[in-house]
Amino acid sequence: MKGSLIIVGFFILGIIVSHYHLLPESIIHCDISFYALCGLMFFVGVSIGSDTNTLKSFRQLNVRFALLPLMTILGTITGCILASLLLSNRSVSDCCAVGSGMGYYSLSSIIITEYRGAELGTIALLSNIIREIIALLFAPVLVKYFGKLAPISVGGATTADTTLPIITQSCGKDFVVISIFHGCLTDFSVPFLVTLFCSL
Amino acid sequence: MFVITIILFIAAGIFAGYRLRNKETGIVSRIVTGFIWLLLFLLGMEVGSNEKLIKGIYVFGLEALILTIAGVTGSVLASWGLWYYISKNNLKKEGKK
Repeated sequence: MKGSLIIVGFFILGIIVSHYHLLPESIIHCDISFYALCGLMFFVGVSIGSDTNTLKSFRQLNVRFALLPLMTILGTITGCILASLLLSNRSVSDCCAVGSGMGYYSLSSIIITEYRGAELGTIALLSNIIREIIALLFAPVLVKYFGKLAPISVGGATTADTTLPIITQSCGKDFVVISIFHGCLTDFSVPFLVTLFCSL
Repeated sequence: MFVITIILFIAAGIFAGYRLRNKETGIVSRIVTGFIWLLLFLLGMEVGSNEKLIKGIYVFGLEALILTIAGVTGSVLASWGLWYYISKNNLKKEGKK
């Protein structure tokens, strides 16, 4: 939770700094953000490549539960395709790009900003923050009405870290491994899916 | 071109990470966090310098909310389907790892 607040804090700080012209605006018009994004992608790759825990947790898992990340991704994308019918000024691929952030608001909004501009990037940031908040607040209710996989699915890419405690509480200790497995896999899929939908 | 560059950077990272998998890589998550801070600060600067974005923030917030609710509903229904399928097929071992 604290980490999330700091991240949002940096975003708000940026707004304040440029709104009151505390730093020269030329900073955002040069390519710093592109190089930083390349650096970020490289190190995200390193953390994927060096992670052996996902493989370990996979071995302890009932094969059927391994389908959960796929369900999360398919369900989210389907929902976003339907929502794009409501949002007439947004294309299907824009809606899917925002949705495929799956709660990983920092990374998804950064990639989307670089491809599609700050407007859709801001929507992605807000949307994926809301998703994490929904997961944190509604986990117990979701378990009651939709089974123990629902809060994990809603948590999306965050179920291996920020929403893990509330999922453990709501679903029980038996679901920790599923939650971590789901979080890691969904997390890894975010940069690829967002990039894919942005390039459509 | 942009897509290829990004994918190449991730791929290079995965390769490097795989080679380093038995080494201490705790610093990687800190570097990632640092980049995220910098990039979100820059996104904030871009938003703050754009009057149109600041004025439209409620509209964008509403669009974000609609997309989130749609995505969350979709994933809840999909996971509910999987839960139903597993519970039906696996009554005795329900809820076990």
